[in-house]
Amino acid sequence: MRRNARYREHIVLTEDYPEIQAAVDSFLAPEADDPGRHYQKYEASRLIQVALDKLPPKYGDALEWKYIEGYSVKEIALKMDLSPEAAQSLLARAKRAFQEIYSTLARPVFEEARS
Amino acid sequence: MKGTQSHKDHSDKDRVAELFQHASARERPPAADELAIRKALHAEWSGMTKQRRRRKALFTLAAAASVVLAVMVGVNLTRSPQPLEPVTQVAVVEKQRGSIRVLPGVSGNTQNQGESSALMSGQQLVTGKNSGLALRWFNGESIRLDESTELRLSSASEIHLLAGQIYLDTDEADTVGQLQITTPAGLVRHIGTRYMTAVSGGVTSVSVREGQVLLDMEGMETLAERGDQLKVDPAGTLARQTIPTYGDLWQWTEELAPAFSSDGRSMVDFLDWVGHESGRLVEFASPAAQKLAGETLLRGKVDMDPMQALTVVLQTSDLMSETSAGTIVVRLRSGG
Repeated sequence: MRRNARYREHIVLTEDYPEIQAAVDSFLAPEADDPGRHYQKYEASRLIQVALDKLPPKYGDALEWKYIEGYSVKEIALKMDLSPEAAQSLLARAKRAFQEIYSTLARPVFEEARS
Repeated sequence: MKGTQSHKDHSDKDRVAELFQHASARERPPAADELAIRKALHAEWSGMTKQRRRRKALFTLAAAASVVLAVMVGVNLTRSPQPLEPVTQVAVVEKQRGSIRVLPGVSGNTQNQGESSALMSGQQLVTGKNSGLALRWFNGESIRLDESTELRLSSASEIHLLAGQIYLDTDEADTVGQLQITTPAGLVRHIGTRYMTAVSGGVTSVSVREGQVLLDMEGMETLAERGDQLKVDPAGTLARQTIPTYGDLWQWTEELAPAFSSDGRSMVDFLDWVGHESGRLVEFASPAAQKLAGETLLRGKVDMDPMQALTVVLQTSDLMSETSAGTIVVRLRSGG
């Protein structure tokens, strides 16, 4: 029963940000000559930067440092003059905000593919 | 429950991390500009996330659809386009003067026009001061952009005019009536014509040189014909006045007229082109003048303002012209 509940919640999450899953899938898909697929892949990548730009500055910076430049939470905390716990908390909020904005931006790209 | 939460976080983290593997660090704007840019973008983010939360709370398909639409409209008004149609080539550059910028739609970074003559749906064009651009749409329509104009090539059937003015000439189009222009006042559609649409200071205007144009303001359609100018102010008030189809208002469109390819064509063909591009009526003073124009064959390419071209080309013949308001009269140099 507990396993079922966990499983359901996982599915709900995937449904909640289907665009992020679709973007990851587009990157993992083999190269294709299909211009539509190529366009999706290009947009999925470009919109990461667009979404980062739209976030509050601290959120965008923290995500960029962690996921693109590879800084540890401790290093990010030092850069932002925060405690490691506060930095971890900020990263979690930043990640949620990023998921929201990225999903909104990417929706037209992947909706078109589904239709 | 805690275990569920842990599973959830892990799952999210993996997806976001995987996503970021395909991103590179952002380029930083000059420090002086960064604060202002960030403030503007953050304001947009706040609006978008609020809309998403509202969508979740409503929790019905119909409500969700409307919020998605609202978000999409918001994004489209403030950001690079997210075209719903596949990216396609919609036009080629036929003529340009001054500096032209092509802002990234979906196919690349900002570039100066001249690097490529092909224009794709989703791209945004910006003409600078003392600049201009003439495009040939995929169906043959001629589209010209005046200086300080900004528009988006939304799709093969839609141009979104954000500022400045554009001119459409459907004379050489193989299909007519498919292209519409979105303006703050509404949609502008045409039925085989030459006309200008302008957006400036919140005022949208449509000036018709030939044919008919429909302005659709949220379902209320207004027809404009040759010599009509419609103006809609920011409050949505519509006014109509009569304008000349030649002269100063149209001068910039003439400067961007496509070159006239004269090889094997007669002086009559050339005069037709001058009349078409200048918005003036061409008349012959005598049958003899008309006969000579028909018998005179031209060679080469005429690539200049049509009224200048008229003077230059006629000097090579026994014909001369007099221009009076909206009429060009062509006569023999010897009289008649």
